[in-house]
Amino acid sequence: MERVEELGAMALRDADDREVRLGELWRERPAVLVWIRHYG
Amino acid sequence: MRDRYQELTAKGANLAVIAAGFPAMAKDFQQEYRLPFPVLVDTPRATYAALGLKRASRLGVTWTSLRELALLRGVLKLARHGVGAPKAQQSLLQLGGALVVAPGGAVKLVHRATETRDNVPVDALLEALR
Repeated sequence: MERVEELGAMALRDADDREVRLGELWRERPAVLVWIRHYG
Repeated sequence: MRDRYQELTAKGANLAVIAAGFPAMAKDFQQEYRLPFPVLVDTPRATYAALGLKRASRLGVTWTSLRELALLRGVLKLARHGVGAPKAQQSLLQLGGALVVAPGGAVKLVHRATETRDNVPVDALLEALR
C-alpha cells in the first residue's frame, strides 16, 4: 500500500509532547493505529 | 480497543490512537479513559490526509454529535483548555480510520470510516494481526 511509506516518515507528538515517528511503531513489531474523530 | 488491549498486545502489536488537537488534550483524554497506549497528536491532520480518511457531511455529523452530546463535551473541553487554539485543529467533519501494519511496512488492514459511527471492529484488527 503506497501510503504507508509516507505515513512512516511522519512524526507526531504524544501526550507528553515527545516526538514519535510512525514508522518506528512497525519497524520491528506489527502496529495498530486508530484515527479518531476527536478526543472524548 | 482499551478493553481488548491485552488481546492486541498479545499479538505483539504496538498500539496508538491519533487525533487532532494538542498534547494537553491528548493527556486529558488518555487519563480520562485510562488508555494504556500512546495517544498521538496530529494538529494539521496530515496523517488523516495521507491515509485518505474522509470527511462526513455536515448534516450527518450535526445529528450524530447532538445525539451523542459530543458537542457539549467538546465545548467543556475547550473551556478547560482555552478557546481559540483548537478551532483550526479539530474538525467535527473529520472521520476516523484504522491501519494495521506488519513489521517492515506491509499493510494488513486499512479502514476508512464512511460515517461518524463507523468504527473498525477489534476482531478485524486481531484478524489482521494473525
